[in-house]
Amino acid sequence: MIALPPTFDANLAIDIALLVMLVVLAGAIVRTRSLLAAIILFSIYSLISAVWFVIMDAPDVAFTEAVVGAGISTIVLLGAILLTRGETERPDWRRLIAPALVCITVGGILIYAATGLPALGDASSPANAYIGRAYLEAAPKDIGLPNTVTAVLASYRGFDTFGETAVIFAAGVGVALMLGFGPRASLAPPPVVTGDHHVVLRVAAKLLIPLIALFALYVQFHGDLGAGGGFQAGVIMAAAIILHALVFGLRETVSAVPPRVARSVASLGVLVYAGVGVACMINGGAFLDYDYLFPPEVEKQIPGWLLGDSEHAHHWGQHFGIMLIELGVLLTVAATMVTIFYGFAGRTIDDARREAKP
Amino acid sequence: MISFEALHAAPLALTAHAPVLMVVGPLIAACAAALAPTARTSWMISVTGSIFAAWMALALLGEVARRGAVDYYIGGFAPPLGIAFHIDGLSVFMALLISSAGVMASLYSGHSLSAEVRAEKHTLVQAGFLLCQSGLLGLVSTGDAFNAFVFLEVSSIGTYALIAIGEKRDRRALPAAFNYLIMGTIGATFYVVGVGFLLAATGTLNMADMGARLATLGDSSVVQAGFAFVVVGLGIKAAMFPLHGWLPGAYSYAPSLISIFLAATATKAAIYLMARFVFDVFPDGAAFGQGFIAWVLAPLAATAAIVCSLQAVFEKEIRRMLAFSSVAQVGFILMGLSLATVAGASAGLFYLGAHALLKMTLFMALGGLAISMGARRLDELAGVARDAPWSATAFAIGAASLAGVPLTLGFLAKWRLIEAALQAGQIWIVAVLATASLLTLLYVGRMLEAIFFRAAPAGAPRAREAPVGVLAPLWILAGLNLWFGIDASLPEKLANAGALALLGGTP
Amino acid sequence: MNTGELLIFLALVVPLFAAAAIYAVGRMPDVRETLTIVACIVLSVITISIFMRVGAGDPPEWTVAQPLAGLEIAFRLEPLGALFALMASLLWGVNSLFSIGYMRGKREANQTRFYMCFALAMFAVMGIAMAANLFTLFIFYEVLTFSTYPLVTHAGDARARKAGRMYLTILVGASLVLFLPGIIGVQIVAGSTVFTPEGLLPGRVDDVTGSVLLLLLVFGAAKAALMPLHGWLPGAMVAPAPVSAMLHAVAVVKAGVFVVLKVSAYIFGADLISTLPAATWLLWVAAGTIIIASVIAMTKDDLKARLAWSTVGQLAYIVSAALLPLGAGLVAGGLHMLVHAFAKITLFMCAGAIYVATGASKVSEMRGLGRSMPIVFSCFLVGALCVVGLPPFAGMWSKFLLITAAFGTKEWITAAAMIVSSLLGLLYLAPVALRALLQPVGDGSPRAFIRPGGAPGPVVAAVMMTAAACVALFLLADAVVAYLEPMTGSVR
Repeated sequence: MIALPPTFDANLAIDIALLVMLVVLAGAIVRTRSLLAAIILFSIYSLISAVWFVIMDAPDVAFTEAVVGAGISTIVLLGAILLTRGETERPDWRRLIAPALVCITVGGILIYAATGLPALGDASSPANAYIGRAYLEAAPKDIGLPNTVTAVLASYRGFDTFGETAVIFAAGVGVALMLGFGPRASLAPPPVVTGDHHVVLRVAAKLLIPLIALFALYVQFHGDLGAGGGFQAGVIMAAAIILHALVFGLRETVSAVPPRVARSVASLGVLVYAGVGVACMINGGAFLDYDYLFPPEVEKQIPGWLLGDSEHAHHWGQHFGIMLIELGVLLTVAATMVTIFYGFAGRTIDDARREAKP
Repeated sequence: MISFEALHAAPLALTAHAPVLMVVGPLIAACAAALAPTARTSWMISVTGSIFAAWMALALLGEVARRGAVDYYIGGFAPPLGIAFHIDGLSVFMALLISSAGVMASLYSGHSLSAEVRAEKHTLVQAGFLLCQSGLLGLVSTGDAFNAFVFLEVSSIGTYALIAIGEKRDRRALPAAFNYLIMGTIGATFYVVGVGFLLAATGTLNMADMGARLATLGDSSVVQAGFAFVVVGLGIKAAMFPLHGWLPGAYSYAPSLISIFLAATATKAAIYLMARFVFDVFPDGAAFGQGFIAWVLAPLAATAAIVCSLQAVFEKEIRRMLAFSSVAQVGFILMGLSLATVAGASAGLFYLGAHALLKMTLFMALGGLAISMGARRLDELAGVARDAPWSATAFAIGAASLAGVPLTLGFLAKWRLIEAALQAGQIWIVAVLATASLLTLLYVGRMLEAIFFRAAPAGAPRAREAPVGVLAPLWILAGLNLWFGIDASLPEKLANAGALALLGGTP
Repeated sequence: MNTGELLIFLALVVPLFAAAAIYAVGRMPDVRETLTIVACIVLSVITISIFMRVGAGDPPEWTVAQPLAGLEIAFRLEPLGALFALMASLLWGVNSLFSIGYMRGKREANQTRFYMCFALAMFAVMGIAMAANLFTLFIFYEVLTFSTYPLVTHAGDARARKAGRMYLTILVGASLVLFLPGIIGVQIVAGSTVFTPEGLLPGRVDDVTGSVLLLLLVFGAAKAALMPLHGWLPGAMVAPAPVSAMLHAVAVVKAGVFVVLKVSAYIFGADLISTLPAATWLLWVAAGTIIIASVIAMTKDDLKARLAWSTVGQLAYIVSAALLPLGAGLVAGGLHMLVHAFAKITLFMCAGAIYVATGASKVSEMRGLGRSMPIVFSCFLVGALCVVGLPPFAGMWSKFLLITAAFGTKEWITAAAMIVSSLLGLLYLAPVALRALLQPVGDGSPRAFIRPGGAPGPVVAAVMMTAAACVALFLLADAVVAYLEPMTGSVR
């Protein structure tokens, strides 16, 4: 057995290993000419990033990276390469000089800046000593949620989350505009298949899909306590629907969740979020000030057992407000992901060729 | 003299929430437009949403004049914990500009859109347009650096697709939009990386708070890198030379509703945010800020004014010509700001407003002509004035304003810029301005010569006059170019208030 | 609105309204041209009335608008402006008569645009003449450039478009690069740009700033065609004869020298001009322009080109007059502006009459033509002798006063240039008429009229009117000098 030196720091070794893997992956992504390989490598890159975020004590970010970066983006990208060639040409090296110079410059500036950054977890760094500390002290009083990250994202900086929901909605609008109205050859009745080879897949999927949906709801409601929330839950919910489409065919899924409904739900989610804000405003508070979500006389009527936590009884507005806006986020994210998936999956390579003709 | 103090545009209950209503109003309208059953309904929603935003901006104008600045704490949390909207003279100036551009563009879109885009897509186009409007309004109202990033994205994401669908399914729109998407995303990423560094250095995201803490914490490599990333990121979004490569394509092939609105507002909002960072967030004495203004911003702006005017002179497609002209005019605006005096900033803002108004006039006139003929190249427009005199005359008024012909707003804008440069003792800026104005005259002359003085080639498709629904907003804009050319006290007062808000000092 | 404001308002609105009305009735040539003539008469009545009021010491004033704080669109008359407005409106009438004959005789295209732009140009001239400050003046100065551009390119062919491009480039270029910064400089230095008796700038500038501003303003007013910014004027001769006659002998070029006179008298003031080194440099430039232009004029065979180069030289006389020390030349310059306008328009209209009747445009083709066109060539002789400065024509007085002033202020170079150039003028202008009238028909000359009946009646009538005026002004010169006297301010 090899004796480890006494100064060996296991965390440091893991850090270095992960970072080396990230660099190697990035190099491989740049070098590979196969788009499929690039997508898979991207997915791995996201997963390793997620691990890295966990090590840095940011489980919420890690969760999002895992479901969005490694999960749904991979599916969307795979859908996209079905419509194109699977490989890229090797670019002329002269055209790489400028981007390489930009990358080197940016990297240099980043390294230069890093020399002045405070150490990770330094409690006296400006970010931690100033606003981080303020959040940790104020959140229990103001919001009354165990998960301060959720308190910050959904309440203190709830307006950012509102804007991000709008960004998701905008992306859905964009994809629907570009791809949502094309021809749909694949919606023609599927060819009759004799001898079903996918029985195992179907049975497993039938079992899995409700479970995935249930997990999405768990993630949704668990956001108050730990890592989770509308974004992640929305993506997981969308994954359930996409899985359905992959296994049972797009036609089945489209008849269950028509594209128009998906688009409507996406905008409905933003409306729910905005509606909460406006309701607070009508009751005399500022926009998204959940303390005013209920008029005082209504708030008194809410029974204390409802959330099983009478200690924070005066935070009904915050609790319900956050729950409602997370619902809005869930709706928009899930519906937008499904819309984007429909946009890509709804067409074949023949459609794309036909459209490309002037 | 106009008095903004006496302006009570909206009931008190609404005025109290006007900062956020101005942004959320169009956003809700965007959702409603996406849900609308018919194209016509979505158009009406779009007009209503835009008018509502403009109404709120007007209400804020009076409020800011009375109170100096309006702070609105979203969620009831004071900064630095919560997100605050900070509306001062500069924000109101920008908000009025963006929302009135929105009203005009949405009114115009009633007729233009059906000629350019399939009817089933109208609901989503209007939704995207409203999202963009809401994002830009949020960008100029918020006092929070990260919130500004979110709104930068809200305004951009929808626009990428709107450009990609193209006017009359123009396939060249796709690479143009892709180019814009990549550049815009790099810009936004740079910005957010910069904000991240600043957060690490100061521990706050509120811009006023950030400025105060930077002044006491002092300089460091993190702050410098943050500054560099923020400025380069916003420079891409503002199409600052030499980061403007995405703009001509993006403006040229989009449906005219989008190019009209973007030409008037998009780069201007990024300029606004850059000015906020350069003048308000970064401490006045910081050497890198001063050096940046004197050795980077001003020379690049001057180069843009000359080089891109030249590119416009040699361009053959009229919308690309106007787009290159926009990059050059951004240079004019930045030259004004780079003087770093109240007079210079005021002149820069005045120019910004004037350019928004006149470029809108030009793009809208072209859009009106394109309904019937779809002309893009300059020589295809030969002799259009005979067939569509009203559109052509409005175009001529906008072009005269662009060239700085007296009795138009553009002339007064150039006047103020030269005056400010002379006062600051920057003679070389006067020389650049004069040279670039001459080049402007050259390409404006080429456009007008084609439209008015050349006969249409035989057998070419004849233009028809644009419908009344297009002519009405078009002539309101053209009329404003002339009216403000004779009495510019309103834009002058707004620009002065904006400059004072940016640089401090007393009127 | 009091009477004075009303007069200014009408002087601006009548040509503007005429332009709109001409556009509206464009399809009916008779109505259109009647309208033009009526507008000329109405405008002349208005300017005469303004002229009288200024003479009586009650100058009309009107402040219209204030586009930016400290900048006003305002009008106020003084003797030189009143004289310029009167001269321009009277000559517009005569020239319209000429235009009707010429344009119909030549069957030119786009006549509606022609008359409309003419009316717009008059609107601009009225604005320039009445402007109370440099800012207002600049606005109308630019309007004049743009409204005359379609007239220069009237022919519409490549040559005309090229000339038009040069016209715009030089005039607008100079006004943007030099004139506008100069005006803004004045605004910054003095806080306003108002034309003030005895000058706005005295006591506010040092020699360097004053010199820079003077150079900017004088070269910026490129319509005065001071070398090296004179190239547009010979180029603009591609325009039809009425345009050359009215605009490039009267309205546009005189607007240029009018600006120089106003700037000298009311922005700098006679005393300040006397001390600025730049004024002396400009006098040398003007003297050079006078000589060079006269020499070039001698070499030109094309009659209109010869006249254009003669104009370049004569304009430099007026610029010299404006810049002589002690304000000694101001009145003489004003008088020469008036006299040269009448004389040169006569010459240009004669050239147009010859062209429309015989198709001849070169001097070498005109030998002996005077036998078939005695009236026109006699009038040409009158105009030529008036420009040269021989009695009994008005030019004698203005030349006499100019040269006396140059001697009086010991500006020998200027005085010498003027004398030499007058002698050269005698050599290149007078022989044109004399050869046509006295010599037998030459080989290259056309034998017959290309238009039956020779020059149209209105054309000949117009020529006779201005030729008569050249004689009449010989008798009235004293009154004009007395009228202009107040503009010299404190010096007298």
